[in-house]
Amino acid sequence: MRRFLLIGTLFVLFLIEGTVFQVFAPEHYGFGFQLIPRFVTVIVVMIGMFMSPAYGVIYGIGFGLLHDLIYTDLVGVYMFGISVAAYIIGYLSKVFQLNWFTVLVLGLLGVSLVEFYVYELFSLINVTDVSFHAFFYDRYLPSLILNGVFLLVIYYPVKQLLEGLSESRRQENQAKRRSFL
Amino acid sequence: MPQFFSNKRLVVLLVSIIVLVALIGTSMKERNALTMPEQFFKDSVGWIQSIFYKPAHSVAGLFESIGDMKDMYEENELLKSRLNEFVALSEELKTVKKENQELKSELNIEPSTGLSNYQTFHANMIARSPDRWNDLLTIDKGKQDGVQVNMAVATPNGLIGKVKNVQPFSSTVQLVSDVDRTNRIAAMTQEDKNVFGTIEGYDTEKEVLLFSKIPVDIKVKKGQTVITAGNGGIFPRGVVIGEIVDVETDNVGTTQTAHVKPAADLYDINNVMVIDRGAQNVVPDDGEGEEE
Repeated sequence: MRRFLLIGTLFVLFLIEGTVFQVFAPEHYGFGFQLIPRFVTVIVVMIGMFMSPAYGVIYGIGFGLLHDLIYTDLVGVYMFGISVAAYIIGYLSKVFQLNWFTVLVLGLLGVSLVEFYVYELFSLINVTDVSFHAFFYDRYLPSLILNGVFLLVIYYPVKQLLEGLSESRRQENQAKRRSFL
Repeated sequence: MPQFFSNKRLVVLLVSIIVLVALIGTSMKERNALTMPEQFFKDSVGWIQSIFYKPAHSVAGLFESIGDMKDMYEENELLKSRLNEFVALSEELKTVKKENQELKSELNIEPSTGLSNYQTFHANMIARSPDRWNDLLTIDKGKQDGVQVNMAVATPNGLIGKVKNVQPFSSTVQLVSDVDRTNRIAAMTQEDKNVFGTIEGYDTEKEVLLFSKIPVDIKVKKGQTVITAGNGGIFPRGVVIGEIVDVETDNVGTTQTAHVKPAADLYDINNVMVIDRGAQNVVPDDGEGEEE
């Protein structure tokens, strides 16, 4: 039940990124900066922290692939990026005690990993020609603030949901993780 | 902290990087059509997206119209004065059209084979890529409605892009601002004589299109309107692209590039027109866009 709630939430956020958010995007009103919503990435990274890196990878592959199919033409970019970010952050989180501040820092680190990876990859294959300076100031920093605020807003409900999920599936998780990696 | 990279994980990582490269390689190739599962996903998600997009857009539209109310009176005055001009112009157009027809029939030119003959049908935008790297829109008309790959897409103000992929019930539009080496449009500008060139890309920082390959001995001025030329492929002639804001000579010095500001606002898109030049299978437009 809880798992469907999680998948449902992620799917709704995924849709909001491309629809509702685009209506209220700052370019619409003539601002020079871009706000890139990475709501799904934020939650998938949190899954990596609160449940297990392996779960982060699974959700990352699923929703990354969906993102690739619906919003881009290149299959595999986000699938790889989000799952690797969730994996790395999931492991890093083991050294920290998780409270709202460390989760915020680690979550934003995950978003940054995805942003920089996608920027570098797309520059490499000529999907974009934005200079690093423009990328960093007009796009990366504003988006970081947006996603940070988003993370703080959803922190408590999502934490409750994820901890409940990982508690009830602890035994199962153990077996699954061993077979997955 | 558990060991970060065991051998097994390293192998998994390497294999997935190889798979990533292979996937990107195959999906970057010029493809005529998407695979069945891709079409299926895009269509079904597109349907759900439209449920999300429409209410959001109408809420935003409400705020916008409240904002517009301030200027309404002045605008109304201005428009009234322009209306008289319009009547005169449309009379002139009628006579010119008639004269044109007469002259054509005198010269025995077949009507309707012109480059500028086209039909449009309306569609609503339902989603846009949230990462600005890919400037792609999804619209709610697809193959079933007669949309085909490479058709021009415009708003009432001007050209915004072309159809990149079609699914049965939705299609993906690549905006002119999408940086892609295949995203080229044959364009022209009309002053005393026609000047032809190509729209070859977009400057993201200045937000202008690059209208290049103009011979250096032809003078183009600021403020000239650039329209589609229609002599390459499926675009019709005469769709407004934008206005020249700046001209510069290329490094080599044999051609010049003009910066063109798109006439359509690429971020304020709701109802779009898909332009079909071949008039063989056009679905009559139902235009059910919720106009405020």
